[in-house]
Amino acid sequence: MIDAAQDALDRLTRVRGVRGALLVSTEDGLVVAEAIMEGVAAKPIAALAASTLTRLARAMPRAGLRAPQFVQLRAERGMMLAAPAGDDLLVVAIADPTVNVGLVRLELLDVVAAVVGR
Amino acid sequence: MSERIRRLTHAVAEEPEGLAFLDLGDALRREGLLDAAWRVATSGVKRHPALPDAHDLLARVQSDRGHPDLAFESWLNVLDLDMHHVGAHRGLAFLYYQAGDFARAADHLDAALAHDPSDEGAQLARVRLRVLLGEVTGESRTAEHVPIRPDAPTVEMGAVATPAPAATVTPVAELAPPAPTPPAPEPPAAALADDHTIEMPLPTAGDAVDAAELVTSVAPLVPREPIDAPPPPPAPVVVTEAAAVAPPAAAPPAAEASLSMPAGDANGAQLFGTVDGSAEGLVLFDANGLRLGGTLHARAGEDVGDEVAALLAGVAREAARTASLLGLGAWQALAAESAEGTIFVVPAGERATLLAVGQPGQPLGRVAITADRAARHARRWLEAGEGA
Repeated sequence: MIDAAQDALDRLTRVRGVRGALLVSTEDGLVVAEAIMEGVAAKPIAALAASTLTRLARAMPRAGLRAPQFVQLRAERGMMLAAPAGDDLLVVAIADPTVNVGLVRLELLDVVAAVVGR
Repeated sequence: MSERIRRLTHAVAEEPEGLAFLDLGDALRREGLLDAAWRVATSGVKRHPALPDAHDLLARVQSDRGHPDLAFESWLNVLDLDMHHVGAHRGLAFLYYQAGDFARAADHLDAALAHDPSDEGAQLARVRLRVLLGEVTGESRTAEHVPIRPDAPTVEMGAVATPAPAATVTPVAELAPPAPTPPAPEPPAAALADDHTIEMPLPTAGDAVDAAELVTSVAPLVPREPIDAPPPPPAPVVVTEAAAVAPPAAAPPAAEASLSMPAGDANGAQLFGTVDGSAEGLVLFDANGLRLGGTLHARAGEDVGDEVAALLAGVAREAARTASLLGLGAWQALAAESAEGTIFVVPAGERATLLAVGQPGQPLGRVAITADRAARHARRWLEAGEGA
């Protein structure tokens, strides 16, 4: 599973504008696999992404929605995109502001599929 | 050897699997028995690898022994186990400060304060960093020293000149194991005093700051010496025996000052500027998770705005921190999609956050527009309250 995920992460980082991708354990925020640019702080990003997803997953059902399938954090100079892969993992991509979000989203879902073995 | 250490040693011997080693290691460290402290800490980490405090103790010992790189690793280990560990954030803030990376030091102090707003040491240190980062302006002054006491995280600063903007942040290792840290601008030397007080000359140049702002500060940070490890401190710091920490002058900034709001409708058009005056699906909340306005109804019909605001309280902080760690600048929005709909979270001023919940079938872009517009109105509404 990890090999397939690593391949998928590598593919994800080939999308123009994607600076890195991570597979993160949702429960403890640890990095499971990564394909990330030098200089990107994978560990804290993983931890924060997992924590944010957990918060959203707790809050959304109270708002009448199911847990998130896709999350996007937009900032001045780029963005972080994430999609849960099953109950335990989270796929995270870090991208430039000009990235084709639709394409990254499709690739993210491919990684999710590779991880959950569909 | 003090009576306390004897007692703690006895406690550890009686119950080797217990947690008394934490107190023993710290007591040994404080008394300068660093080899013994290191043995206790490493043994504790082996016994309790999933205990953040064990790694934190090891980090402090390593720092005291003069191995900031190992301390850095250990504090990262702590955050792997508990990303909200205040001690680890304070420790990392200290190391980044030493390395001249004030921006990252500020990030970690922010994280520490987010989880322990009562930490006056961190508050004061944050004020100092704000000055160094040019977030505060004032009159020019000359560089001085910033003593940082390891345990009683106190950073004392005299008059300081903020570094020139370009030199403010030296790209030090990301939150990755510190390679020999690139020296910060005009790195001063560093030395460590017996009493563990560290005095750092601050970089000179650039804008100046108000003296009152600089008179004191405290930072929890803690460094010292290592064990069998690698390269020495990346620090552009000089540690001397300078001890006494001057009496704090500047009062710590009010952490999360409460928002003052204008009178009037907090649930409709006045707050969010919605066309129909409805604020359904829009909730404005503060950093403490308290709803400031708006309504959100669950399917059963009850208003769940308070609950959802409370559950999302930390999201804005985390979004800001994530964006900062990634070097992406300020965060602008956080969107989450599920099968039934979308939520959109955007900052509404410095201390408030707006949540917009899209209805099923409503496109994300539309929810984003609604959220941005509502946040703009909410910001004005809050400013009107503060100006009143």
